[in-house]
Amino acid sequence: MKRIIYSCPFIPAEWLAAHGLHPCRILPGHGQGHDSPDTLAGLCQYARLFSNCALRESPGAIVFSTLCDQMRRMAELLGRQTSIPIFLFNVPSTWQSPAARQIYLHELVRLGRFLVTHGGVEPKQEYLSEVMKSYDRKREQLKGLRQHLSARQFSEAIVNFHRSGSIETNANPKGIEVDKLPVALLGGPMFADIFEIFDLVAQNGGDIALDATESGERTLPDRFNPTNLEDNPLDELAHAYFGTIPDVSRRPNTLLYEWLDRMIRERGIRGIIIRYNTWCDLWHAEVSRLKEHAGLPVLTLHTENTYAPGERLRTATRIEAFMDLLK
Amino acid sequence: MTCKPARLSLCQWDQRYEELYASAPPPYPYGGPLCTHAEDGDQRLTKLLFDNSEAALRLWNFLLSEEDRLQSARDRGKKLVGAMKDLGTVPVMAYALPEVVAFYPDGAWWIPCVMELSAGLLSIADRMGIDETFCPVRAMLGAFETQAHFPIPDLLICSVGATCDDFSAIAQRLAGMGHPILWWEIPHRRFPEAGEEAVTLPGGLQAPRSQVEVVRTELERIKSAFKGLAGVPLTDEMLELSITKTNEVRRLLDRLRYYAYTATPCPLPALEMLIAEMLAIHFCSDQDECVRVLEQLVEEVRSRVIEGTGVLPEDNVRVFWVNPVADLRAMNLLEDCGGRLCGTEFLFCHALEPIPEDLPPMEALACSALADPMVGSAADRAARILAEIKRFGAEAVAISRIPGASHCATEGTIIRDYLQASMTLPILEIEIPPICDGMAASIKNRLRALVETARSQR
Ligand code: SF4
Ligand code: SF4
Repeated sequence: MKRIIYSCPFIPAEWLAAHGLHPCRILPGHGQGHDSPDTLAGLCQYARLFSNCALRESPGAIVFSTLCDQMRRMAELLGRQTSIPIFLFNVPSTWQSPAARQIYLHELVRLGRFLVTHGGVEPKQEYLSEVMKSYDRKREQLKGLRQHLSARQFSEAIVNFHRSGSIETNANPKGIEVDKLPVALLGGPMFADIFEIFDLVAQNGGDIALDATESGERTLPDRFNPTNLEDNPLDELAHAYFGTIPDVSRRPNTLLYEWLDRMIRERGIRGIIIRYNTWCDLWHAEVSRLKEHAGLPVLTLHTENTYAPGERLRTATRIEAFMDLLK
Repeated sequence: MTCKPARLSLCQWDQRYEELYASAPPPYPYGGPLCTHAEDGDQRLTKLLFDNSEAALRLWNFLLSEEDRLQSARDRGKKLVGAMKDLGTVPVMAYALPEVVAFYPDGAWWIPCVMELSAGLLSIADRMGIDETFCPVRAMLGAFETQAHFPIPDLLICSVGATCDDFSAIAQRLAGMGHPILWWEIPHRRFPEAGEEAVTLPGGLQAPRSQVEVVRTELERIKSAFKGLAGVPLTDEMLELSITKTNEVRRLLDRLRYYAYTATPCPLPALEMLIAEMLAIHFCSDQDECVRVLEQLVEEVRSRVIEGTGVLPEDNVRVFWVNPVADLRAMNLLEDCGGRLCGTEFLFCHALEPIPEDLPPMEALACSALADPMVGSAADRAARILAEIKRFGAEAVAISRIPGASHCATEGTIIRDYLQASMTLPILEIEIPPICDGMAASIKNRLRALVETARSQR
């Protein structure tokens, strides 16, 4: 089955799967070569490494989105250097107007046409509903794992689910954790090789009780409405993804703040670690406001590579100091 | 008064001003010697060279008196609209309403340069966490915070979607500071696919009809907001009139560009051309006066062309300039190094194209907005640049990088590659900071090398 590589949380895996293709939402790691556009000053490292990583996956196609300008332009840059089919999905920044929703729906249809051109099969409505039900069930199962897995295991399970569409449940259940300080990890997408942050927090008496990064539970769409799912699955798909996922890129970005407030309350969060990538303007610009808004201690990690040799120790020390502060 | 075209320093201009207006002041209400602006804080003027014509003086005075004009409009009860990011569309709607004045708070981009960092706007942005990894538009946050550079608009309207992250992020911070924003979506312009109806946009690019419709619908939301603001509906007739006036400005600029970029010797310096082109986006807050300012400038340049006079040596190399320069002085440096401006693409070339007058006005405005070079691919932008390079007969290309601008890293590369694949002119990519004095020697060296390479290819 052809794999369609993407990274944007607003691309519904269900839509790709319903076309008979394998949706594969990946997280790049560091040190993944320079076989795509060279390092360019001012270029988001995540966008660049995603391109490198996507090429290595030998994909049937790569789907970029306009969620940020860097990715929008990276799609063009990569398109000039590879013969792999590339689709640029226009995710509107606004979300409250009928026009924005219409653009999103229209883009889903356009993506569908692209997929059919590149080996996919146009899905019947009933089949799309079935695929959506299956994903909905799996996501619920996934969310349920939070109680049983360590924070790192849970976040990695989400990443794996995005990548493979299946849930790996063979991780050892976590023991009962008492007196761990609940912390939120907030920000843009993680890199595959920096999940050690979870361990560092745990080693210092904390627990990342909320993974609000782009690759964590923040970007899981809402459950589907069963009636709409039968009547108009595509519309319901658009609603669940476009209408409910809180993100820093949305204008206005009020959903993000509302979601965060709710989750901080529900999970009793005591401190926030904000991690974003250098040159990511969208997160960078929001950090000060998030600090003011949350009213909780905040640690920001924004190095290019939190775990580059020289940085690892520094990051560990900063997390240790932060956890001490929370205690 | 006729006099040989030349570039003058601020002091020289002040002497000339005394001579020119000893008996009567200039025949427009915002006139005065340029030194008054420098004394008011626009210190960069002391480092610049200006064209010596009365038309250029009027242009500068018009530009530098905008804050007073906005304040006076507010005092007279007019409503102020802060249009953001679209560069050229929303103001056309605003100026259709007699009681509304629109301007771009984005213009704060240049305040750090013009005031030589003395206004502290970048420091304020720094304190808000918006540091030098963002482009100079971050000065806008400081301008809102200090409320010292323009009156706070009654309505803020910002385009988002296919725009730069810098602006989207900074505008969101502005909203977070308590300034409500009407956001409207500008989709990423793409080429129509098979089976999709295509629309040709101003400038010749194509887009699917569905995208034009989306933008038109978004502009309808803005139209409703204008009705709420002004208390009167914005009718098609009002819009048509504003489009006609806008096109008058754009036609004047087209003529000016044609004379300035094709005549030899160069009849108007690069700096004045940059300022004149900027008038296209919101008419410097007065549509009618903007026309008069440009008419005088066009007339001055036309007579210079007829007389065969100019401001630079005849053999200065013809350079096409891509992207606005964060420091105005860079335009002077180009000429000091033996170059002259011969075409520009300052990120708002769509605002220089006439808005179609044979379409319903809202559709015409949607087409105009979609023609923005920044909402499409860098290759589209490069193709347009190439066409202009050919039109004006440029001999070299300078692509200035904007410090911190997120689009420059990828875009500059694509534009350079595209141009190199289609022509043999030398290309220079160069970063221009808001105050380039510290790097002036290196910038000059690189510009000289560009000019010399172009000369050797003659
Ligand atoms: S990290 Fe930020 S800039 Fe980079 S791709 Fe993601 S949203 Fe875009
Ligand atoms: S200069 Fe570039 S980055 Fe800055 S606001 Fe303009 S388009 Fe955006």
